[in-house]
Amino acid sequence: MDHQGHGLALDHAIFRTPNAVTFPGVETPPQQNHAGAKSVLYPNGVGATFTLVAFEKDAPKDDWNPTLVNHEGFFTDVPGFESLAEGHSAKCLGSLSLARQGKWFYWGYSTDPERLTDPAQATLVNVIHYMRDKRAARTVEFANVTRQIFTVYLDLHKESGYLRGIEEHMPNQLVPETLATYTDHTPAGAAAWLAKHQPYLFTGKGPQHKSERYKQRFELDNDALTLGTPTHLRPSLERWLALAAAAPSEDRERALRCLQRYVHPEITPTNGDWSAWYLQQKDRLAFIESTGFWWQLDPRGLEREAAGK
Amino acid sequence: MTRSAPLAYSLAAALAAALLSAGLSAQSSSPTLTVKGMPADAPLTVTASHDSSTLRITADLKAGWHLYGRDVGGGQPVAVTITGGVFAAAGELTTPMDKQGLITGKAVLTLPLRRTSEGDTLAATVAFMVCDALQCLPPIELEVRTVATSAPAPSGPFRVLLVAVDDGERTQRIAAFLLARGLTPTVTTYALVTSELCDANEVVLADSPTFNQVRGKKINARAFPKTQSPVVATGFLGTQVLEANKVTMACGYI
Repeated sequence: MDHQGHGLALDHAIFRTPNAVTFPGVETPPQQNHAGAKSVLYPNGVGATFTLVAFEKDAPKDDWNPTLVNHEGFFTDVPGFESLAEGHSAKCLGSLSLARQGKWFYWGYSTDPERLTDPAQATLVNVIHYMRDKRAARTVEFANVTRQIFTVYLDLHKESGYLRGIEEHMPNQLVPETLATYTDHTPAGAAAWLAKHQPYLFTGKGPQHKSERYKQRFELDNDALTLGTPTHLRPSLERWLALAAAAPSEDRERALRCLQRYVHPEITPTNGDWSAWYLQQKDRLAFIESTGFWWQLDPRGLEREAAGK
Repeated sequence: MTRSAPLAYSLAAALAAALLSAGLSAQSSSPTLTVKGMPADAPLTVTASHDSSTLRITADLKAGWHLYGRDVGGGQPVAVTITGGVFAAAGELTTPMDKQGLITGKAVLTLPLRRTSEGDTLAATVAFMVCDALQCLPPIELEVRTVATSAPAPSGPFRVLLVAVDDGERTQRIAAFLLARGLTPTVTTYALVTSELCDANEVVLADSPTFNQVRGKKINARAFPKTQSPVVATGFLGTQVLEANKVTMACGYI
């Protein structure tokens, strides 16, 4: 990206305290790759114009600033992740220049006061103040891309006719058994396959999901698919728990495998009493794909509990 | 891996006199809240405080008495409503209750906040019924409000560790900028930074020139030490620091 940002979360503390920050902005037509795109900071898309503001006085000469790219679902599904500004980037929406997860804040611009605009200087000071309270914040470790990556391949084709994602990247990111079910490598075929299977894809569970070139390979969870329980949904977890407490059946076995597969081993019940476990943990759980597709303790709740002690 | 002792030095002594008077900083504080409306004979005490992100209600109940954390068909569960000030609720009230939905002993209830305008004032009501095994007392509604006094003065220097590529002119300029804003910077380099040095500061600012300015230089930002302190990771080297700490993934940036 260059020296600019947009989509600022202006009601956030980093723009308000201790320094109230006002960024002069320039209304700018959307980029071609903004068409139809949405992001955390643009849940309804960019619209007719978007407001560009300058963090640095001019663009880096023959150089660039990095952004954190989240439109491929890499790491922002962590509860409490804060997307606070996007960078002015050739990439489509979702390239973050200001963001926080746990006790880590990313500032995508210079920190050199010679380069920073006045409002950016004030914002940087605010960021430091904001982070002062984050020593106890819980950071969760990134493990794998999310299954949103496949949606990106569909979107890229819609935007530009790009087919390589559907024809090459997608097949190479599936384990052989799952790849066998993905036979129609056309845009329509990919869309139909994902419509049926995407909520049941998972990765991050073992060496079978590793790929040297693509880092992660995804597997179709036939247990969850048969039960009709998308792995990220709370009702699915509760269905698995209900089956686990029911009489022996094939569905019960499927549910037990799902519980073992998706409930983080750090919090599984040691006595096998899933009902009692859920009563205790119900309000503390969140499903996170990017940590390895786990139902795990919500880092926001852990922070609150730590603060209350 | 053993590291050499940090070549850390504080710029405070050199620059404080000249720059502190120009400081723009106002440290964040945790305003005290008054709690009014508790009946004198109630079997509990309630105190409250908040910061920029959370309202904390601390209830301390006498033995045998409880509040309700959720609706269990008994007494009225605890409800917290923001009624004024510069904050709004940003989520649901979290109540530390047992399996039966009861809150007993000393418990901290938390409500996420988001700031809606400048300042630190907050007003809220806390409504509940307190019960024992035999009875519930009449509903109680407490008024929680910011103490009408100025925020406490900063209790000490706000220590920021500036981790830079070197201690050259750019680094000195950034350190002077921090000092002028009321922060107390200590400067070190990526080559010398240690966990102990990071942990001794309240915030770590990991600086980075642009990509082409660091390309080809041996700056091992990926070896950034583990730390308990919050870190503001900046620019290209910042992405390497984040990746090394598994906050993001490699290639997750451009």
